Amino acid sequence: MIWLRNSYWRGLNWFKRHVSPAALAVLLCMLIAGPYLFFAPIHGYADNGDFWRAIYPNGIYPFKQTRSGYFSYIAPRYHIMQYYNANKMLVYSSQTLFIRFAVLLNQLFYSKTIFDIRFLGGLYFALFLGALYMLTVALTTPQRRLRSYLIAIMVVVVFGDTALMLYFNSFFAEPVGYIALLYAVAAWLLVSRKHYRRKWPLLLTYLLSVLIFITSKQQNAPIALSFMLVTAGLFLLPGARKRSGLIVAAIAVIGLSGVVTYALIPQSFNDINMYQTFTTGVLQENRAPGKAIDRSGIDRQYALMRDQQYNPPTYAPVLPSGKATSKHLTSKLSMAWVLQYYARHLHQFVELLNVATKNAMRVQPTMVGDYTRASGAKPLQQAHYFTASSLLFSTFYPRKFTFGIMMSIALIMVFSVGMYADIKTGTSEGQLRFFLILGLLSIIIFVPVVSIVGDGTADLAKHLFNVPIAVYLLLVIMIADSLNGRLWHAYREEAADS
Amino acid sequence: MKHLKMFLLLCFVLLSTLLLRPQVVHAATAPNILLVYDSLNAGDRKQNNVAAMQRLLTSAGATVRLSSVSNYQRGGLARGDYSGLVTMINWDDVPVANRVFLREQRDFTGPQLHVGGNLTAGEVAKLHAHKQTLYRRQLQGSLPHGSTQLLPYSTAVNVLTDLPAGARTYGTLRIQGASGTYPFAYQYQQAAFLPYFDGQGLSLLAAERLVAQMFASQVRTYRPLLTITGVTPYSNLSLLKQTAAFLDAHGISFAVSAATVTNNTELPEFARYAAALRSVQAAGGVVFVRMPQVGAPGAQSGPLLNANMTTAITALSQKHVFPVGYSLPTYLQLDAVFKRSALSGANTVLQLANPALQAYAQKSDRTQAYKRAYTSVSAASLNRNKSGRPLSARMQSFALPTAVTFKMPDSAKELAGLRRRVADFNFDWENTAALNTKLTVATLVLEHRHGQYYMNGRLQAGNYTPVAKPPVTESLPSRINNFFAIQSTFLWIFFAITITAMVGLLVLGRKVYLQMYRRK
Repeated sequence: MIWLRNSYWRGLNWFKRHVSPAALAVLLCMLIAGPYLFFAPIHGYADNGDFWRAIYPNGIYPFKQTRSGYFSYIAPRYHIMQYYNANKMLVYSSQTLFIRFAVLLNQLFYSKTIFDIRFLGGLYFALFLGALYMLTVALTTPQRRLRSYLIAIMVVVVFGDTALMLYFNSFFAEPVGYIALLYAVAAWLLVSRKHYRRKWPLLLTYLLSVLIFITSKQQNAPIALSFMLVTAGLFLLPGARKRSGLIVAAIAVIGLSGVVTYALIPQSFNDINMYQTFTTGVLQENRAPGKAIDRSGIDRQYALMRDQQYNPPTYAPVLPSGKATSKHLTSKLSMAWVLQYYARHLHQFVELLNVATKNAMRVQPTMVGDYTRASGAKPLQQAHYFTASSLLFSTFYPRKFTFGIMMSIALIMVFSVGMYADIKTGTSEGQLRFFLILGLLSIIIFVPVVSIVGDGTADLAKHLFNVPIAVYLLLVIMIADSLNGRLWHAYREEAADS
Repeated sequence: MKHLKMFLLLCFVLLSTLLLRPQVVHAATAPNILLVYDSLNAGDRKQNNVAAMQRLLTSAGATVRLSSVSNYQRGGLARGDYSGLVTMINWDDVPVANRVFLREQRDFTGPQLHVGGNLTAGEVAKLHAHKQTLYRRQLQGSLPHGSTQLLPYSTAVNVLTDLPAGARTYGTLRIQGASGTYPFAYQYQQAAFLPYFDGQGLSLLAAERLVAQMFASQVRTYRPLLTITGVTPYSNLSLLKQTAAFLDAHGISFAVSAATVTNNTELPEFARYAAALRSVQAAGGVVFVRMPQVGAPGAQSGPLLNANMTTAITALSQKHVFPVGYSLPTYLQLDAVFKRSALSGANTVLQLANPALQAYAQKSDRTQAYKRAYTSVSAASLNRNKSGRPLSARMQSFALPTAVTFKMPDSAKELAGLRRRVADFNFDWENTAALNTKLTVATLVLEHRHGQYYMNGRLQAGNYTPVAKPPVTESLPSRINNFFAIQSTFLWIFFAITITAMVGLLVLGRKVYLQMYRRK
């Protein structure tokens, strides 16, 4: 029996020497998600009606399908425009860079006329594996014990969840934000844990990822404020006094990117957002909406527009784009009006936030199918391949907004202990981590608020996409750090053995 | 032996049921008319002419099959699928080139009407007159009782001369500044010709006359129906009530084309809207429910549309608003989903003008017939002649059911304008009490006869009393909610105290801990 035990330990040591936890994480993710995404029949998310914004300005157009066909099944192939592209860019987003690069790769290696979505998926997946590697290194450095490999597996289970992976084979802008956020957090943690000798490549990665994240979707514009707060933590790094000008410049650039993203929202989208804030936000959760809006200066008959969408999917009594509606309703609505209305009806606002929280953890969009027509699946069928983590979170995460506030208080208390201890000993690890936690918590608290004020309860799952990612990151960081003994203070050799 | 007899009797009974079919009584089917156009000519903004002609044919009680010349399916006319043919030429510059259509048009023996230019030789032969083309002229049209209108300047107009004895004409065309008149609307036996048509003013009246003569089952004059369009649940309801009161004071009965909601009918705002519509009914107005706007519902949305209309009409009738029919833009007449799932329940419709954006659920190329279908013309367009007296100055004779539409006023100024324009009209408006209509949704049948409304056969007279809302009782769940609310407040206080105590103990404990290491 001794030879069995010896060979076990020898095997384990060989494994530990040659396969780092990060490499294990990447390998596992490739084996789990790779075939599911890229081998036929592929899986992804179908068009929910918004893909045109991403594909037409970039020179791609879909194969002709019946109208009802395009939610139900994913389209694995698209045409590439050969001649003049008359479509102007409507929505400015960093997603364009990725799509154009994928089209370039497609034209080099596959075909100049047909675009296979696996090139875009592959590009996203390769970048994602890099982010996964960096994140696992950040969470497990510098040791390679059994717990490190457990952390790696946890990272794969949480972040390699199929509900998130399927976004790669689609033209949603969410994967861009997801990958960028992972890179930003991983780079920040690596800087704080001094894993690499030189800091500036990591800080550059962090800055670029934050900018790509903020510009990926228009609703990420307010998150620029969160990241300005996080970046302010750079002042706590040793040697920051010399570089304070650079740090201020970085904060300014991040703020500017948020402002620019917000300013570039097309006016037509503004009308849609204002209208839907009104019909799916202001008029909801209120027993007498007519009287409430009448007090705020809008004709009470418009309460009958509750739940209408700006572009009606089927039938509607009037088209909101008409002259009468824009004169009496849309022109009177503005962010200021919405804010003063919610200030007067706080109880209703809290109820709306609870509605938002109920939908916050739903990462998988349920109104589109996940399979190709060729795979023989039913229309709109949902994939449940490796979705244990997202299912668990969406089922058990509490459905009240105040839970988020209480969780924030608890986590701030927990991580501030580490920060305080590190202030006393003079290391920056816990301090930087605290700022990161503050930033992630501000995402969890303020993204639902901004979504309700900006677009009501319409399309909530897509607007709240960053909330579950932030929750995953927070919990994974907390569990990994407590396993490694660095939750209450910076990493110490002897503390790690406990 | 007994069994054999029974068996033979059974066989005889079975055979007789198979062979002796009951007589099926076919209802008189509406005439099916083919409306062929050469081009919509949206470049010269003539795309509404075809829709206007489609409206007239539907008002005449026919079903219309719409087809462009290039899409004409061979054999339709020859086979006798159609009982009438209307050829519209919208684009004079390019003559019709489809030889198959031209041949079948020449051989067609039923009533046929040609509108516009480019009269072919075959058509001229049927008209039994001589064709003359007038180039670069401005023509003035006039109708028998004195209305004149200056027609737009045209590069080429076909007119007829040397008319035969049995020809019937209506109205005349005169070249400005020259003598000699030509007929405006012309009919000889089965063939008819209208040189100019734009769906409004004089050409509309002349076209109505021709269409009624050619295709309607009976020719009579109709009084126009004053209609207020664009009423929505979000309109200014007090202005609507004032408009109704004004029309009632002048003894004018009218119709209202009102959109309605299918959800949120439990809100008090819907009750306000219904109250406004009730006041319209009390003032002698009838309500046409407008078909909903179309998004992207798809061809399978029939049941959804049916459910929507049922909910909407039921909610209105529960509040004593009884619609008499549907109003809809002309292009939706062609929509197969609307025909199947909504329009078949009504026998009276009001055809409105087409909007700029036309979205279909399922586009088809034929309409269906109704007992009475109004064609609409806007009040403003009736008076657009640049010279001569406006058409509103004296009563016109309308040969088809026509609705003269006014837009719902949006401000006090617009209401004053509406009052002025209605006062300018010297029309003898239709008396809506004489309308006999029937509207069916699911199990609800709404009828209007002699000014009275009937719901499922029962007369709906008397005042409307709103159903009192049941009192809200203190239900068990709200007591449990109270319990949880108290409990959560208690927990907040408890945790606040505990955390404060913990923080205090932490501070004390740190002091003690440090003192352990202090040098004594």
